Amino acid sequence: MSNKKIVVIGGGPGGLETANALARLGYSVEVLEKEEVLGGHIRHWYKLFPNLKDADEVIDFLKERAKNPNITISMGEAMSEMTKNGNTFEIKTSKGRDITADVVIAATGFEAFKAERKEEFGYSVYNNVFTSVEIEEMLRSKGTVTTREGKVPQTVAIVHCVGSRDEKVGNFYCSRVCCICGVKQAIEIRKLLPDSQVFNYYMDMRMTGQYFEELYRESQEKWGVHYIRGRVSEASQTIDGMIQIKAEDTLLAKPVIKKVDMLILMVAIEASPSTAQIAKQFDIEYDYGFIRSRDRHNEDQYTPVDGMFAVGTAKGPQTLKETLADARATAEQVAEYLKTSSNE
Amino acid sequence: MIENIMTKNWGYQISQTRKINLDEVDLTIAQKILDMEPTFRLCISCGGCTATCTAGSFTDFNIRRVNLMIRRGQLDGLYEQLNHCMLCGKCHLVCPHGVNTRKVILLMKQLLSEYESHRQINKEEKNV
Amino acid sequence: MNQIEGKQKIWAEYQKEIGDDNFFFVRSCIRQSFFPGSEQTFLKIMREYLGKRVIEDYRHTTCTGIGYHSDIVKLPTIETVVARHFSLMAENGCENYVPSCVTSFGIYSEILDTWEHFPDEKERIAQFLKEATGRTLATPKNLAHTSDIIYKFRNEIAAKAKFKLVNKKTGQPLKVVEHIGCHYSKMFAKRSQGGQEFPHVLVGMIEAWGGEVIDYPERRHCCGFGFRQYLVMANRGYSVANSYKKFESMEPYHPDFIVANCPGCAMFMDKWQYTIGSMEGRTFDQEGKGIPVLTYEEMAGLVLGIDPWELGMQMHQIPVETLLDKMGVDYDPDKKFLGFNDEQLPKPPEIVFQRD
Repeated sequence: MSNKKIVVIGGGPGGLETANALARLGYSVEVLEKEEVLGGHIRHWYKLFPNLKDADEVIDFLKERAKNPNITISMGEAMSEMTKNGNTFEIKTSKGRDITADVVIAATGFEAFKAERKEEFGYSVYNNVFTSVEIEEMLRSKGTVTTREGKVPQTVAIVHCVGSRDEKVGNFYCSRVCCICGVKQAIEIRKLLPDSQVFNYYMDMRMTGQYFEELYRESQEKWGVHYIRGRVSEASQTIDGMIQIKAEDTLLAKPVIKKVDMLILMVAIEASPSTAQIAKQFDIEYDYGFIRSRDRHNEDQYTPVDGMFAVGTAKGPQTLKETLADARATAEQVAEYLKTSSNE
Repeated sequence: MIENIMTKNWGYQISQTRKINLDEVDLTIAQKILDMEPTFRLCISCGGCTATCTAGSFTDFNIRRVNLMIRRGQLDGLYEQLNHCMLCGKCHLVCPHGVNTRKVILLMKQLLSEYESHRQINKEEKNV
Repeated sequence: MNQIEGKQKIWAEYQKEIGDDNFFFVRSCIRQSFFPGSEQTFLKIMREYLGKRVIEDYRHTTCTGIGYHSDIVKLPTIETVVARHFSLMAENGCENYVPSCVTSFGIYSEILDTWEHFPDEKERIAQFLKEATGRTLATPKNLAHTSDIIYKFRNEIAAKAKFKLVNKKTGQPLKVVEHIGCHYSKMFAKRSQGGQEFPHVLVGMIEAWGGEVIDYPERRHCCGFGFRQYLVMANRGYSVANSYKKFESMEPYHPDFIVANCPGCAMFMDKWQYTIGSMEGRTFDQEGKGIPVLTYEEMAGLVLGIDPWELGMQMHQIPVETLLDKMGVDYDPDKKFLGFNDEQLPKPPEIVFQRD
């Protein structure tokens, strides 16, 4: 159909599904994945909001679809350098291979915010401070939630907006997925540990997706999850190894203090190093290192660089659902681009 | 020479904390209301109830705040505030989350009057 | 993952540049009354034990920080006073400016930062300085608090130590509460040693000299000193309440002593214990005597084997003998209240914190 070389950088959900959709349109695609496994961040995830579907179901679906003669997957091979030479892209891989591509799709994704940057929360200093990602991994590997000493927690606090909406770390933006992830993890903990109490400390609860608000309501109605509107200002360790947190209950205009067995930090979505590298090198950086699309509404799958497309969280915070839809749209736009450019 | 300094007059006292210690507050009334009227759990503090409240326009009665005070175990003075409520039911009508606010008020009055009378008895016992 | 590794990572982010020699030293207003031996001890350690050159100038005055924080002294006034101090430093051929007071350190940091961001303001102050004193404005190459300096030379001091921060009887490290003045690191974390959440400046000394640091929940909380707060009697209630909160929080860890790097903090954490004892009949230690509060110079002095009465420790509200006994420091109780020429000074009464 086309002898143009298409390279997808990144084998997460966005990259994989773009390749899958292109393959089904008859195009040959090569996917570069730096890890030895496919699936990106989602393979660390336990269940997906808002319907608590197993994350594996999505990965299995994507991998099954990728078993297609039009798709070549190069595992454990990262893009190290990429330059544009006339109409083609010259890619150097970590395995020393040189690839010349007509179309490049940046599916380089995000990186979880490094929670130790918010020093006041004591992550990596105090034992029982966790990130939302660690909780997913724990649920996935152990099927339950325990403190680092292996104890069943009685009280858990979830801190929202860690690294998001925070000038102090240079991120003004909202990461969009953490609110609902906090609701989801609160429900999961309450389901597994009926004697536990879970508190969400939030600035705003932003239930932007379909059925998110319903899940939030369910967390209150069915699972008795507590919500305190106020940002946690600092965490310290008590003599019995618990974590003491301070916040203001802003709806009551009074400071509140509480000791919990576990503190979970809802970490932000930040541009991955590869995303930031491409954004910078091609001068297509949206703020914070994400890749800018050509037009937010009309040409959101294109980048300003001719022949380069971007999909998923490489462009900024997105839910998995949005990324998959974005991937299918990207494939369609790539096909349209190739048709138009080959007719010229 | 040994001096007992307990008799000194300092001209000021150690301020009491304004902080609510969520590990120490009494949440039994909150829990009872949550059990007896489960819609109480659904409050998101939007303030619609307070905005429309007949009593709230003319007194310091703030039903949104009272709900939250109960849930944070801040019970002192609440009973007196509840006396301002006219039980008109407009708050129930406007609530976007279907909290049966009228029922919640009645439960609060009942439970807080028990709490207040216990406090009164305790006080009198102490005085005796 | 352990606490120390996590903290070390943070400390690595906040490595402050500190001068090595030729320091221009400026005193604090209140320390000379409340901890009169401390500044002298700093000079002694620097000159006699470390062989450093430290210059003082009798023309140095208050920085007017207390007046500034009490809304009496205006910003251009304090800036001009500070400008004069800097010019004194330059006249003495020094570039490393070392204030002994954390309030002053905060003032200096704030003013240097202001001048950096608003060169017009610096120009204006230079003009004021010229008109008022005929001097030329200079700025220090390095600004470090005296605790930064002791921190920098903590290992040299450890090498000369006669005593360790260890309980001589049990061989266990002494448990130490470290308290950092707010204006040391909360305004400009980058100008501090270790940052604002886990400052390393006192931790580094304590650990180098054999003690064990207590990380208690209210460690980062302000001592409540303020300025208007304690200056006005009616406001003192919430000033003392802040220290109270800290004492309650550290109590379960049974600290052997508290060390602070700020004049106000050390003074209040020492004296508020007396106030609280008087008001409520309680102390926060096990023996009912109060927790001794030291300055870092006193701590360094004890480690180096300097006589506690020479360090000025008889001036503490909470007696320090419990600590001296634990460390095995040799001291003469009869000499506690001897002045110069061994003249006997009046002895304060022994205090008991008990209700009748």
